[in-house]
Amino acid sequence: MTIGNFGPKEARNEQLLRQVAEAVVQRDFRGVEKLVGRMAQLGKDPFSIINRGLIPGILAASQKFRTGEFFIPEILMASRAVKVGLHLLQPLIREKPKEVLARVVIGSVKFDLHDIGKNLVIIVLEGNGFEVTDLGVDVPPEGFVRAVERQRPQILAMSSLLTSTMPWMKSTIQLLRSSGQTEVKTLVGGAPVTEVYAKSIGADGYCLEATSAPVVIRNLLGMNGDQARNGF
Amino acid sequence: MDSDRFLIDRFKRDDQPLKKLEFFSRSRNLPVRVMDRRGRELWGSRTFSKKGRFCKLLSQRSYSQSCRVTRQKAARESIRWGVPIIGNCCPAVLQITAPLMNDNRLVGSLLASPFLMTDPRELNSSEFSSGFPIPSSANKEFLRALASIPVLEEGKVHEASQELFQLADEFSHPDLSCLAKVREIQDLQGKVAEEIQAVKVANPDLTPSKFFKLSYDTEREIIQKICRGEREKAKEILNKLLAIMLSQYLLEVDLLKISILELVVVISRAAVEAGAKLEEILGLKSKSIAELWGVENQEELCLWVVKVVNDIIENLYRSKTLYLDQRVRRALEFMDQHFFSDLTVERIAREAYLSTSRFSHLFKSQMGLAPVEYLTRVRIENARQMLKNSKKSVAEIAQELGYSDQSYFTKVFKKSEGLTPQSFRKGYLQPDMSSTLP
Repeated sequence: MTIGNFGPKEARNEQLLRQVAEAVVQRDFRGVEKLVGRMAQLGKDPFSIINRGLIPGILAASQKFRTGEFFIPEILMASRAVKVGLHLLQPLIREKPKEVLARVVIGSVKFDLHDIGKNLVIIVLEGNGFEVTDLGVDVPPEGFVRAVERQRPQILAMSSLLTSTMPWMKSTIQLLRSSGQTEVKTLVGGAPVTEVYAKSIGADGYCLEATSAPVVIRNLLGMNGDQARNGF
Repeated sequence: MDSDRFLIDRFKRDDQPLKKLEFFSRSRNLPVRVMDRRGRELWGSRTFSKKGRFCKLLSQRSYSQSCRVTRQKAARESIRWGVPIIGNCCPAVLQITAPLMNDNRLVGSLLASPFLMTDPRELNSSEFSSGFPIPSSANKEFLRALASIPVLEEGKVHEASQELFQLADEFSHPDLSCLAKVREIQDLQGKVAEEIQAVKVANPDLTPSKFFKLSYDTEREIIQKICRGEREKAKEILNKLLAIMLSQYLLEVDLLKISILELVVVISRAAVEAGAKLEEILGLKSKSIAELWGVENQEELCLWVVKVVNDIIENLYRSKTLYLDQRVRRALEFMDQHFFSDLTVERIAREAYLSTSRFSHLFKSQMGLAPVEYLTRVRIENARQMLKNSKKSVAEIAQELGYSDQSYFTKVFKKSEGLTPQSFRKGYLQPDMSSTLP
């Protein structure tokens, strides 16, 4: 990362964010607590601590898992370090948005048990003023439809991390529409999900990455006033 | 129930398995239990009697139903992924589950729990936010029970999970080898999902027609690598090609089958043109295509094509070397086995019983490249593997590959791959916004 164009204050900020990410990778709870606490005290934006500190940390840890350097226990501990940081930031985030922008129901589709990506989306959405109901993982189409009927959200978001579970997104959208839920907008995302696929199954929107979710949803609900980027 | 009878036979008639579990439990400081198919406890180790107070407390507070559901789920997961499952059994408290199988059917599980990976004094109250059915009057008792749970380091947990799985393999009938294919399938699925993510990030504006072009270009690329004998690279590109095909035809398995079949045809033709024996490739093809009709789903289809293409690549490699002069073949084998030592052309020529100039000439005429170029290629292929799959530094890798200095290795790598070893590794390790983690 280049810091050439930054002033000393920004450079210091960048350094702190990198330290937060590193503390997550090292599963250093106390370090996360200390750094996040200090940044919060200095009045740093909680979202930038999440997006540029905690999230890069957990992503770097995930990468180490893929290359075989980390195993599941390390990942569980790194996720816990993120949770420790989020716990500290929660009061700051809560007081920020004054009104709920929209209600979102979210879950990983049937047979899919991955929740790190989905949980990131939840963090980002809640942080941006959305009210999120988490249905968890391995949610069958009926589970999504029931939740929509009960909660009447504006957005139904689905995540899938395996090509083999992606077709359940289509089944869910079909069941949703055939049971008369035509108002709610559907949003899909996950590593193997592409925009082309999202369109082909009739999803209203698609997220390339967790951090883009708020923008995509605002576009879908016409809150930005500009042309939707990933809401078709 | 058959499954219950199996477990009784296994654990009650013979005391060896339980002795082994008792030993595992004591040496690992981990409470262990044998569970039936419905997640009910059949046996508990002595460590469990001593350190399982927490679980007993919860079961008195009617929490046992939810514990049982979690256990059953974990056992099902372990056969879905073919690995031991490490996860929370309740907030902050962890368990390891390994499946017990009889004739490929899940009959129960080995359960190592409860344990923690954090000192209970460091847990904050928010981590119990999903709430235990513990009234505040019983809080002290609850905290005491929590403090009695063993705390394990991450590394020890991983080791214990592997060992528990081995025990489950030993106690299953005939064993857990039926899960090997499951692991292979899931491993490939994970790689393919990562490739799709990489394709998405590299091509943000993908349309169906762009997909088509990308698929065509990638097909050309893999054929080129196969013909050049760059086996490792060809295998990497195959994953990318699968990712593209799956993105195109995920909802139409028939179309997916057809395009995969086409790929096999194109690749086998290219292999024949590059020197593979026609009859052998045809034999390979007809055998594999017969297997294809039995393939049920997309996951098996991916595994199938990877195997077929690997077979073709290996066959081509073998046939290419088969018709070579025996002395060149000897030199090839020597280089494949000793690429990590400081080899000179003289040394290799000596192995082929030829003078240096005669050897160089013969090698080049048969292989189409100089011995040093071949050696570099072998080293680079190995370097790619090590950069991707190990934590070793570039300097260490250079040394292991027989390069006496790192900067020379970097230069050679860059010349061949177009980027430095550091950038190659970084590009490969670039974190993205997804993960294929459970």
